[in-house]
Order: sequence, then structure tokens, then C-alpha cells
Amino acid sequence: MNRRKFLIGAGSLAAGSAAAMGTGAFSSVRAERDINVAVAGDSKAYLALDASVSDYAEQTGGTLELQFDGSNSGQNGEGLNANADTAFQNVMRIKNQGTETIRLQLANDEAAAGGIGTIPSDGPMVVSYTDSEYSGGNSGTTPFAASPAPGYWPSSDINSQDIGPGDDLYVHFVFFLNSDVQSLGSGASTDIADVPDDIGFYADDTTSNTSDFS
Amino acid sequence: MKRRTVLGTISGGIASSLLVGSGAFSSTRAERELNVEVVDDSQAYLRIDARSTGIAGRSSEVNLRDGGRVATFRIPGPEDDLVAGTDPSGVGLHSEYWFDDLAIIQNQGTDSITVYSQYNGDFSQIAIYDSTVNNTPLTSKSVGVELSPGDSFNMGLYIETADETPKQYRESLAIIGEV
Repeated sequence: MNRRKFLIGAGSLAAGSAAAMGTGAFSSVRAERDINVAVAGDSKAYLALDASVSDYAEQTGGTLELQFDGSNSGQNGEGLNANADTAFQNVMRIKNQGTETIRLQLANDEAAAGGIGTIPSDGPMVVSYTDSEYSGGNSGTTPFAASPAPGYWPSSDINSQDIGPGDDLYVHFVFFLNSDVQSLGSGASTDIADVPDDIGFYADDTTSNTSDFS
Repeated sequence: MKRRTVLGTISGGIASSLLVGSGAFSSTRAERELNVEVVDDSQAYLRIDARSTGIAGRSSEVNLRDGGRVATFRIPGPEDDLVAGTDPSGVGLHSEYWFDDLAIIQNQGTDSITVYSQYNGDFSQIAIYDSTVNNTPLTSKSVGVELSPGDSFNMGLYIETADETPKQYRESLAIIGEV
């Protein structure tokens, strides 16, 4: 009994001192390092959001704002027609100014977990893109994977939302408010109130889920 | 039995001589050699190697005036415009950016450590992350990366902006390794 006690005592003592020695070797390091970061307006950032291509987008205070409400002085109208489908082409341009190919996705800022790859999927807003400035029928554009679209439009393909370094794409918006035609289907909303207040633009490395501009 | 008592007396004598000793000995100063070396970040116990990875000059080492080279980071890097058609001026507002593989962080000590970063400055957040595993900003020890002696990870830099004024900022980030 006695012997046993001794062994326990000795054992824990030895372990204790070994741990203490180990910790003494290198217990903590704190190194302050410089990071020079430039903040740029949206049009010149790594993910460049260029509002200069239309009067329906404007860079205000460094960030791009989409304006379909007459607030831009370049517009003559004050807003959308009621019970009508209204399309705006070449509203903004998105350019990859990083060094790797990125995959551009829309995101709903109000959704949980960043809402990447989601915008309201049951209308009334449709967001589509083309590789260059576009003129032609709306159905000639490709809807983002997150966006609803009329059945006669091309189907979305997330792989084509990849943008190489130095490349860009043009973004188009359609608001399907015509409840008589219901281009987005009978279950879709034609209510302007269902247009989100914000759209997130999310750019990520195409091969992993970890990087934006590596 | 008697002998044992005597021994006790002797030990009493030792005790008193010790007392005298400590009373008479009020201070000493013994110089002993202590070898400390300050080395470059890339060779330190907490190795921060900003030379062997990273692109566009976003990460590098700079010389301190009193010797030693330390890691430094620049966003955008001086060569960020070398890819045709690109000329980024910086990160955008109200954005989160992840820049992968800016440095290798390695535990060159003898114990396992947890590596994380602390930031206090003009931006909403700046933090390091492990760009080989996931993009969780390592903002506290509880979410830090545990490194056994010899282990390393590729450090990325997470930057979150809000309403900052577009311009150049000189920020500082604490990279911490703790047992």
C-alpha cells in the first residue's frame, strides 16, 4: 500500500516537471506585423463593380448602387410601369482584377450564412449576364444560377459564371411585374415588394471554396 | 538509541549554521551567460515565412533598422497589375476579401501551440486564416490552428471592410502562437 502511494507520487511529480520544462521552452509569441491595405471605390477594386456603363447604376461614396427609381439624374422616368415587364440591359459591368479565375455568384445579404447562390427564386426580379456589351432580345442573355428566368430563356450554367483575370461580364435586370402574362410562371411573385433591398456579389476561386483572389 | 539522539543534535547544528549563513549573505550577483538571438521571421521559433509563397508581391520581408527581417503584407501587391487587363486599386467597401497563401506559419518550438491573430484598427476586421483547410478567420485562441512541433500551415489574410474612406491604410496585425 505504501509502495503504491509512492509510485503515484513520483509518477505525477515527474510528469509535472517535464510539462513545466516543455512549456518553458517556448510558451508564447506575439508578433505585430505591418499590413498595408488600400481601399478602393468599387470600380477599381479587385472585384470591380463598374457603374459607368449605364444610368441605372451609380457609384456613390465608393460603392455601386442600382437605381430603378428615377434617382439618377441621367434618367428621365421616375420608375417602373405597374403591371408591366421592364428590362434594363447593360446596367453594370463586373470585372475580375485579381490574378486567378473567379466564379461570380449572386448572394442574398439578408439570408443566413451569407446566402451565397441565392436571390428570391420566385420573382419578380431576374438577373442575367453576357460576356460582352449586349443588344438584342432579353432571352439571349444567360440567367445567373441563383436567378429565376422565364422558361424560354437559356438555362443557367454556373460554370459559365467564371471570369478570367482581366475579363468582365455585363449584367442585365428584368422586373416581371405583369400579372396577366406571368412570364415567370403562375407561382411567381409579380409584386415589387419582393425585390430585395440588396444584392451580394460573391466571387470565389473555381476549384476550392477557400479563396477569392489568390 | 543514544546514538540517534546525538545525530539529532548534529543536525540541529547544521540548521543554525545555515541561519548564520543566510543572515550574512545579503546579496550576490553572478553573471551567467545567456545566449539569445533575434533572427528573421523565417527562422524564428514561430516561423512566419513570407518569402516562399504568395504572389504579386503581396507578401515579403523587410529589413528592420536594428537587424532582423520581418514579414510584411501589401494589398494590392506591387505586381498586382501584371496580369493583362488588371489594375486593382485595392479592396472594395462593404466587402469581405480572402487572400490565400501569403505566408507559411510553422511551429519551430518544442511544444504544440495554437496560432491565431488579433487586430485593432481602422477596418472592420483583419485576421489570418488557414488557406489549406477553410476560410474561418482565426480571431481568437478558441478558433486558432493547433500546430505540433514542426507542423505548419499556409496563412491567408482575411480583410473585411465597411464604410472606410478609399485610401491607403497602414495597419498592424498581431500573429500569436501560444501553448
